[in-house]
Amino acid sequence: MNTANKNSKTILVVEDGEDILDIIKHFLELENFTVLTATNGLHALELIKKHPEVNIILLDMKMPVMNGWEFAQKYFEDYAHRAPIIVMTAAADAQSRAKDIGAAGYLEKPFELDDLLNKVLDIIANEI
Amino acid sequence: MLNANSILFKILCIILFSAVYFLFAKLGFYFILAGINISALWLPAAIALIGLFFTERWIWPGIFLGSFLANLSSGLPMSTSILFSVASVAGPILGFELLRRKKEFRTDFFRIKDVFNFIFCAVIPGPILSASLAVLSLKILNQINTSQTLHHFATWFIGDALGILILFPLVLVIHSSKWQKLSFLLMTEAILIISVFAWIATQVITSNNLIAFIIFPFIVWSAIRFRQLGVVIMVAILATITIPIFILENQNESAVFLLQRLQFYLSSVSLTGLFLAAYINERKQIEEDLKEAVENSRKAAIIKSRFLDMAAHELRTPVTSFSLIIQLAQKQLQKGIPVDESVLQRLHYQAQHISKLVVDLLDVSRLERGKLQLNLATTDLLNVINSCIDDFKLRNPHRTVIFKNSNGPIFVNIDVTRINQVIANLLNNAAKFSPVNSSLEIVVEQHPQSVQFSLIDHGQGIPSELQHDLFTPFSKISTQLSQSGGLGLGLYICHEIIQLHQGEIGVESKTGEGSKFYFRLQRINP
Repeated sequence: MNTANKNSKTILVVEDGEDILDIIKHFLELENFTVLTATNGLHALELIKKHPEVNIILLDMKMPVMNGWEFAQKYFEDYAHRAPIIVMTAAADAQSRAKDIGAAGYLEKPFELDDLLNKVLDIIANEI
Repeated sequence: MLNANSILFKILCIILFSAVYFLFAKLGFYFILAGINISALWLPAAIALIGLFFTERWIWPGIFLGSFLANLSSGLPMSTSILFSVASVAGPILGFELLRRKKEFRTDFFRIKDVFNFIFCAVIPGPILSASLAVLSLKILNQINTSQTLHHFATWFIGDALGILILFPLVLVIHSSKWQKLSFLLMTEAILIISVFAWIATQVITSNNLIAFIIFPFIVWSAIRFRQLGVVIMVAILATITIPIFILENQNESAVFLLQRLQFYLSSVSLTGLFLAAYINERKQIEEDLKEAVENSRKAAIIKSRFLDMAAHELRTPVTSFSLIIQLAQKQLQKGIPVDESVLQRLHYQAQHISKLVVDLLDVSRLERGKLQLNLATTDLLNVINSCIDDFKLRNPHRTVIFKNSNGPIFVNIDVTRINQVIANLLNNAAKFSPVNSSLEIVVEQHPQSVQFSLIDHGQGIPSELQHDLFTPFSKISTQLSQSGGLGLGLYICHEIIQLHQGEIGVESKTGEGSKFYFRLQRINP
């Protein structure tokens, strides 16, 4: 498993629950990813400006200041080359929400860390 | 100057009213059928009742004066004139008093009940009294013999009752109607109905009475489309046309029978219309109430489902954290990384968060079912406040709470746990919505009967248009508040708890200047 991510991809995690954010960051770092974190959409956009190397975005939908939809809209407007997005949501209609913003995948909260890792690895595998 | 309550104004009104009454009485004499010496239309009784109704009774001397002058000028002796005038005042006063006792009587004749009250208070008893007194007077003065008694009684009674039946609703309904511009269609309908009514009215007397029946579909139409107003106007038109024609055509002995037919005809048309219009109103009212109830329950269902959605979302977040913390610890252990005590602390924190949400949900459910019960005990409010502050400081060591202890003790009869909950909730909200370095201030004001607790913060404040929604559950503002954790039910729960204590809770806030949340409780003197 560890052979797949040796090239150290950068993952941006956007999530307003600081606890969840912290755990995902720890976990992904444990799996040898480089992790950037943002607590809302606006913060995420600023980070992307500074770090265009972001490979995957894990996105929560319901956030203060700028939510997931607004972020996705703005991100798609501003960037031609876009990183695939994985939506993480507690909403009942996670799948349709993911579709709405053209996400590559979705995770319904509460989710398993293994599922998260599999989604990320799938996306990386598809890119190559 | 004349004002509406001055004696001079009232005297002028009484004189003016007596003149109006006099003119209507003269008009009545004009309608007297030569052959049988009966007036076909006697409106003064209705005029008297309307006068009493609008002046709350004080116009009565005007009735007496008008009646007296009318009788005297028609050649009746002084004694008969006086006794007849007494009869003319007594009947309408009885009708007025009976109607006034029906507190719920609506002057727009909106409900079937109003039409019944009108008939059994104003149309029947008043004219019976007037007619009885008049016949008694004639007896006393020996002007009639026994065989004529019933005839005179019936004549007087029917004249008064019919006048009231036609004129009283006309004036009151027009008076209480809200006039609005008619649409082209309604205007056309109105003109059509009026034309048909007028035509039928001209035919009622002359064409052997068969055409008279055609009036009923049209009074029904009028009631459906124009309600009471349509009915009273149509009946007025019908009476105004039929009676003069009747007078012109029937100046002979057989007229008495025909006159009674006409009078019963007019009464039937009027009552049919009034009852039908009232019935339609009531049905419409029921329809509207039902629509409103359906709409309300639909709104309630939306609110509940939005709430369920919100509750699920809010519970998912800590449950997600909880599950992720455990999974991460497992991963770390698998990789040989030690797991420290902070993991347990984080799990504990999430468990507390979940249990607070569950407790809030249970509280709301209890409140909505009226099942939340207080364990009241006489307590010093200052003690409760101090312990809440201590508890708050333990969990928020960096926040400053200023509380200038006022003179205690202040005894109140409260459920300590619940009031603790309220104060803790207010403190947590204030901390959440104000800068970390700003202080929170608690003020306790003592009044003879009550005590007020206020919590002042220096946060961003709450726009005035959102303030009244703060204490309602599932409202927009409470949903916004819930974005920062919790279900946004805290203030609703506080509001209900204070209400259960017969107290009052409120907020004063200006955008940019912070907020003051307060509650007032009854003091007791042990």
